[in-house]
Amino acid sequence: MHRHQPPSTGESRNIHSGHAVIFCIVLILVCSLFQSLILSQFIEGPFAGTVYQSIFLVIVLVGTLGSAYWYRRDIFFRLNSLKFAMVLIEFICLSLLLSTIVAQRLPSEAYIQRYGIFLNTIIRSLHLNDIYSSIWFLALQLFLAASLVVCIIREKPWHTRLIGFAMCHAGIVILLTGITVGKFTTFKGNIELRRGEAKRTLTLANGSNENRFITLPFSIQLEKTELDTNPQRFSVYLIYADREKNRLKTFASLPVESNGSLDVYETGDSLKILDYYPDGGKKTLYVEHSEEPRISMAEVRVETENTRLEQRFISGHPQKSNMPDTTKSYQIRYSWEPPGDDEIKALEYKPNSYDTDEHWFEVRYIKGENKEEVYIKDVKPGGTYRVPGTNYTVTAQKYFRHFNLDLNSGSASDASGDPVNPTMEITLRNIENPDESGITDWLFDKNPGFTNLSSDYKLPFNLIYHRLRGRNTYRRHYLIIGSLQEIWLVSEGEIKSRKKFELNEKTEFEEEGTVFIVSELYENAREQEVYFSKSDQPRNPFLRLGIESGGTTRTVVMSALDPEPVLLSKNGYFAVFQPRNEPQIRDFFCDILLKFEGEEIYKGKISINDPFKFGSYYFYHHDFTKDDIEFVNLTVVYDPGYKLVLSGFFLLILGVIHALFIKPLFGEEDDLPSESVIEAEIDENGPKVLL
Amino acid sequence: MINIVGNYFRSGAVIQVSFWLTVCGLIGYLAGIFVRRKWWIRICSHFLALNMVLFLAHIIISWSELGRPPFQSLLESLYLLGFFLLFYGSWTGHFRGAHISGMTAQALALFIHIYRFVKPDLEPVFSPPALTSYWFIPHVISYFLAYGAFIFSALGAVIIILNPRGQSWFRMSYLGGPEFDWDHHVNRMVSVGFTALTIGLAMGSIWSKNAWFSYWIWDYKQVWAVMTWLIFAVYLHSRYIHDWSGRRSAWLILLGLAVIIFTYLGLNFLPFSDFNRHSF
Repeated sequence: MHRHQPPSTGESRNIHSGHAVIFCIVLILVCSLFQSLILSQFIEGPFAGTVYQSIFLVIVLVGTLGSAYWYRRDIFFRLNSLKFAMVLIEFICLSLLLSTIVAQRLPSEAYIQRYGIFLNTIIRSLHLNDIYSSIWFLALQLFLAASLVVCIIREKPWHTRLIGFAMCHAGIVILLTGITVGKFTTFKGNIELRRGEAKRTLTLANGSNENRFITLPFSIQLEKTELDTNPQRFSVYLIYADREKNRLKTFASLPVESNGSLDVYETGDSLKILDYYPDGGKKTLYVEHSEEPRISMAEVRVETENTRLEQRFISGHPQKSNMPDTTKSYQIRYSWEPPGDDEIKALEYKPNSYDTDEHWFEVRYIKGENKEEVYIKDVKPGGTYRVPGTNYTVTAQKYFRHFNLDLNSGSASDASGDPVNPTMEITLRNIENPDESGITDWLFDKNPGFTNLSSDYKLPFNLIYHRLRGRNTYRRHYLIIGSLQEIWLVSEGEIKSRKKFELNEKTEFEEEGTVFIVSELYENAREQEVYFSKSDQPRNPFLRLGIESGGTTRTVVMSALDPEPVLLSKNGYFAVFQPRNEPQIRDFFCDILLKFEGEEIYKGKISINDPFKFGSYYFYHHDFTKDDIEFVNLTVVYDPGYKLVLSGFFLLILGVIHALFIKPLFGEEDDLPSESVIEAEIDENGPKVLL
Repeated sequence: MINIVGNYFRSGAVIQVSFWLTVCGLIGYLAGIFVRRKWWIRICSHFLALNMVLFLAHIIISWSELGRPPFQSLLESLYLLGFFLLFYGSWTGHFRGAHISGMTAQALALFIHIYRFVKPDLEPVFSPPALTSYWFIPHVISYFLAYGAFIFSALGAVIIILNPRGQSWFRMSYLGGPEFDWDHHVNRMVSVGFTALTIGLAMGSIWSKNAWFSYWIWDYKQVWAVMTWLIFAVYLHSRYIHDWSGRRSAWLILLGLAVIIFTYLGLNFLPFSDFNRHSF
């Protein structure tokens, strides 16, 4: 009942596998010729673009089909012939095989180099160098698709027993249609966004110069970005130096995070991770030690709002300590013995703030002949200097840190020791009249235009005064004098505070917002070097590894940034502590906001494996850098075929399941579709081996 | 050699026990040819089932230890394949009475263990972010489900090609006896494999679309994967429509298996296989 109308009799209507093979070869040759001679002119010429390509593709196909029809008029009837489809599949398989044998998409010189001129000519004329985008490969696929379509129509799928069969093939057709729809309607462009920025212009990936840009119906705004990273991990690698083969062979590893142990059977050692410091630092700890000599010591911690300093002070050895924020430094002295009054008197500490200040004069000439910058450098108060290129000398009379002018007396003075308004008092004299009193005025560092020598005194130049600040401009000195009973904090020669405490009692006091904490006291201290971790970040990983061999245990300290091999008990075997080679980035998220005429229409998140979909628009990450995660390059793809492809796959899978598993349950496994009957009728030579 | 012993000791209890189960199971099957007792073969079947449980336990344990599915390195994927092989072997051996499947499964499991002892993973491999998709797990599992089924259909194909007939004890208990229809069995296995392969291929394609904005990237692994699919599609068509069966179909299956082995392992050795996101 589901048999086809048998084709009219005649030898020419029978299709053998051989005919199909010949057809495919002719197809390949015709398409190659067409692509080489005609299409390539257009691809590089003004008609480049998918529309023209597709038009020509259709022309090629129609031409090929037409010629085939002319030659053998029943080719269309034979599209549903299974043999024809099988031959097509074989040809596709063979071309896929070829595509793995012949290197694809290399520059043309590489082919000549690799295969020689003769093979290169064949490869290029048959487009074997780029099989996947050659016309003949596309034509083979299209014929297979056409064969599937004809097959479905002819097999009358409304018969329930053929549902699975029809679903499979319809699925493939829908799938291919979706991909083809995608191919010709899709556009893919990139958009670069900074956080908070909204854009609606895409730069097309393969557009020509005139239509490189496309404007989307909505704008994309980058709301938030987030980078999810793996922490860098480290392992102890066990390596064997193979002298015969002259190579190193890593044969086992002990990951640090396992915090475990590893028996090295090869050498008889047993490794154990004792401690791991991701951000390792080394410090000297002092521990109580009962033996002579006596070293009395206190650990004092100084804390301000922002900084924290910890230092050890040994009895009788004053130590200066600079706070990290550079504006304050402390001189702390810890003394085990109670100080006498004389000792305190001897302590005179004054601010030494401005020792490093430098004073420069910049000379600006009125007649702009000399355009170079001219400076009188390293001016010392009291010194006299020649102004270059003029007949004048300048004397730096006096330096005021905090210039203050008494309006009644007209005399200047320092209002404080702080450099609030640095000012230099100068005297200018003409060399020709050295005895004249000259011109005396003030030059202000923070207000260089206030004193204008050229307009006020008709001089041919101006002087600008610069005070170059030294690094440690402002210091306070504290001195802690301590004893068993008392710690004195002395600042600028003045006793700021005294704090009494008992032996072994830790004390704490505050002075001008600075907290001093005596955290440890040792009666007899001993040095011990220890490793510690400053943070959890693996910035400078250190490892303490215990190696046990033959009943003895030794401990080694290994650094990952400076890896040094540790020899194991057997010759040629060693261990190295090194970073592991694994990807740092785990995922990258972008929060995207779509706006249409200023109104929010959609919010979504993009991750590396999950684009954000809006209608037929898909938003992918194209690029991002670890250093600047707030700047991303998104790829926007418009692909209306995606859902078609999905449903094609779904139908295909359902069809396969139905045809292979559900249908046999109803005992129809042996009831074959009509093709076999027809093939048997047509093919008088009997079934042929296809492969 | 000394490394192989060391690697054995470093492998953990589950692998060590599984190794000895495999060795004993395989020796048991081989000895069963001469011992000729039903209970002997039954013990071998139980060894096989226990080994399957241990393979699964190994996968679960490494999953929890690594914090990611343990299918990323070649060795890890071999253990997944091994689990499916032992499963199919148990099924056809124990329930269908063709114990040669069980023997084959044990032999392949032994190969996997030996491979591990010779070339272990030095440390967990972590894939680049694009490979850590949620599609990864079902894609890989369905692929290995398919590969396992195809390997056993190829075993059946070899038996069909060699075509042993007769009533000896070996043929009775190892090949399922005269009433065991190998042709039908092979067809079932291909059906299972082809369905899983189709699902895997579809998922891979959708995954590719999600991660690389294209269903299809012409890399060698994908090209060969679709060749596998096409060859088994040809098999099914030739069988259902051309009425092929027996040796002719069997050769087609062996061709398919050759393509699978090349897809799985051989592509890494291609001279110009540059960066390939599927390679191990």
